[in-house]
Amino acid sequence: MKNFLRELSRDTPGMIGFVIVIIVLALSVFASVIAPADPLEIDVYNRLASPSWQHWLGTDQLGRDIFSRVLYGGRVALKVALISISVALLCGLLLGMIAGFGPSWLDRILVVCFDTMRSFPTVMFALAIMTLTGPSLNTVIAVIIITSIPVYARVVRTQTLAVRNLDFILAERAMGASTLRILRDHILPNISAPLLILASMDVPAVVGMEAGLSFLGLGVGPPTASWGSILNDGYSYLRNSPWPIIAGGIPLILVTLGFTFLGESMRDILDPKLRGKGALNQ
Amino acid sequence: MVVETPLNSRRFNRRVFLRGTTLAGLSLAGAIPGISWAVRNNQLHIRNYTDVSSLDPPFMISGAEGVIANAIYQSLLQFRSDGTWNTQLDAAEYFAEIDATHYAFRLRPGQMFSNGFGELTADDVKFSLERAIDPTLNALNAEDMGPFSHVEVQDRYSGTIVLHSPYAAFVPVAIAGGTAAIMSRKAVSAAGGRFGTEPPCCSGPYLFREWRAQRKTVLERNPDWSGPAVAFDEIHVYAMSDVKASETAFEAGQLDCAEISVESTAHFRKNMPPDSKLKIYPSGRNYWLGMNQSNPALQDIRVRQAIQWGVDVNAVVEAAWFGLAQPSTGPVPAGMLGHRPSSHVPPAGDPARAKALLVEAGISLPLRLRLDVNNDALELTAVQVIQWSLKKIGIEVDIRAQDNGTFLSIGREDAGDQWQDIQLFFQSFVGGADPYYSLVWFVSEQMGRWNWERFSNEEFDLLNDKAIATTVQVERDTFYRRMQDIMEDSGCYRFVTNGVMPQIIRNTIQPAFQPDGYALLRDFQPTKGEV
Repeated sequence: MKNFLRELSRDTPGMIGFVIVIIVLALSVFASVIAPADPLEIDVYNRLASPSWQHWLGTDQLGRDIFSRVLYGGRVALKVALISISVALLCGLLLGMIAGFGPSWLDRILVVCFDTMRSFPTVMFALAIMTLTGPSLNTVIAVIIITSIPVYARVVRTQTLAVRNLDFILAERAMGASTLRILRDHILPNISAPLLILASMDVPAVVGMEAGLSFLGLGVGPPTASWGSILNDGYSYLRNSPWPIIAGGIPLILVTLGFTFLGESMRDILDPKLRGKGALNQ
Repeated sequence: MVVETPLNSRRFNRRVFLRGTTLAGLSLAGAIPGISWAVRNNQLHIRNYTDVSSLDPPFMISGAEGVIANAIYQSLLQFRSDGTWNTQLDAAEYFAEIDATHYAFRLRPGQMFSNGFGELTADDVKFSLERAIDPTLNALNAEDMGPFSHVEVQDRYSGTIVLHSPYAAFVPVAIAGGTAAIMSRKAVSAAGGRFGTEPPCCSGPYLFREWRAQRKTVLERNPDWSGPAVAFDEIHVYAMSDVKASETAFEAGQLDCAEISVESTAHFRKNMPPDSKLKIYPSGRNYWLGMNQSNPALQDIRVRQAIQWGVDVNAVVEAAWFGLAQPSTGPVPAGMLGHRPSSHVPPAGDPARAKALLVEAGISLPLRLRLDVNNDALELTAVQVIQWSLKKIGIEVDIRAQDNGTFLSIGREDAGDQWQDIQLFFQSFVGGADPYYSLVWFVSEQMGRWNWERFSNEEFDLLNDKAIATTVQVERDTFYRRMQDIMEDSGCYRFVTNGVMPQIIRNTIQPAFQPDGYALLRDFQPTKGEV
């Protein structure tokens, strides 16, 4: 970790990304402490107000404090991103290693399943599921998990196939190491770096998807704040006030920039080939 | 000799370029007919809130279709363009009530159907009215005709309309409302007995020229029209479901008249496009919070009444309608027979009384309820204020926004079992020219169709029958007021507003609208000296 941070500090965009990510995470986690107002408090007669000392980003069409809603909206975005990416990553890791290390018939079946699932356009799939089950945050998370698993599984499978016949794995086998031990102690450490990079790069995509679905009214229900619903409200009242659109858009831009910079920097640091060391960890 | 041009001149720089392109753009804007603000080529360009799905009168389901039908067809009577629901003669030169079940009419001679289908006759009237109730046709608007029986033709131009029983709304709903627009028997038969968006003939002041799906319908002046003169050679009716798009189109000079969203009225008041004006028309749409009294959570009338008293309608109207609309007292809007001057539950409600009712009902708080709503910015804003109001009295409301198609099916028994699960819903519909049309949807017979509250009251049903069977206006007024009292006292309804319909209009146009905000295209005129 210390090495990683040292390497990161030498990469300016990576450091910027890291700082943005830390700030966004901190603001979201401590939203209840930082937010100057209740994000759900309605004040109809003070709607669409411009920024002031009382309301730093103005108020929305119901007179709610936009800054507070943006902070709480970050919680929703990061909750969706962390839960869905973590679960999808774990499931993808498991299935990918089974496909890459298991018998070839099982590999073929799993690859067909992955490709079938990936063939659904994510947004269309999400819309179909929402129509059947009704909009909710849990459905958004479920859709992202289902559509992300094959992506991770495919990467893990490819990495596993590349590693499984290397000499040190063959040596482990010859010494009688169990499959579980080989997977856990030898293959997993060698394939985790690209996965972490991929997961980091996926955060803005997932946050964007949650915002997109909430923008369409298919994500979190009112009055819960989400960056997408703030944008949707802002779009409807754009002629009256630009602040909801600005306030809903900026965090999306920052999260995209932050995680992309960080992901690229992680790739440079963690990928041995790019780092120029030319060898695997073991 | 080197000729100095802007490009080789030393003075050509970024500022010159920007100035030049701006001037070029402005010149171009003036040169393109679509961006000129004068009446263009004697054409009217107007927005319709949705595309047409059928122009066959008994099958027209939206007001958008009625807007076009009013221009291309004739009925015996039509609504005046004076902002009232009063009627005037259209195809008929004489129309009179003989008694409560008989109406006599005589057509103006010499009115021709287009496409060579000959003169409009009493037999065409008979065909058109009887076709609307033909059981083999199963027309969507058959109910508009009420107890209509048949038409007796006396001669080529005269006839008598016969009803089975008195039907006070017959003239405004059936005759002038569009369902009984007169079609040529020959033309409809030649089209196979039914048609869609391309009418086989017209007889109104404008003729149907073309329909482009999801884009526009084009009408042109009827050269054979013998009625009052109309103004425009062409009318282009654009299908724009997004009101924001119509605002942009108006600002870009593409439209001469467009409905705008209530939230944009402040913007247009400050930044009115040149040569334009803003007018706020009533919409005739009823908005209310409905409560499904058959749902276990809402079976206790005290819970429903607590919700009525808990909702601050003033705040809802202020937030969603920007204070342009007024709280309503029931489905019958102001200015119409049967309108109540006030409701039993005042618009501001009373949270203390609401809480007391919940305590009296023995409800353990917080009470969680679901509220279904159409996924529409205005309605979502309204329900969030309702949600906030009810939270103050201990009711947690989960809002479920659904697309329009799904939402319109949630209370219908023929669309599955979900009607049993709905609790609260924010509903709206456009009433008609008669209070009958505003209230008939709440009778017991409508339970599971449009009566999603499952409201059932014997007196209400009886009054509905009595009000439609009498033509004594004072009696009808009393009946309809009482019916709305009963609705409110049932606790199933919290009336919100009748809304408004803001329109921006070029100064070159004199518009004409029905009291519900729908355009009467045949009565649109250019301002004097513009054509």
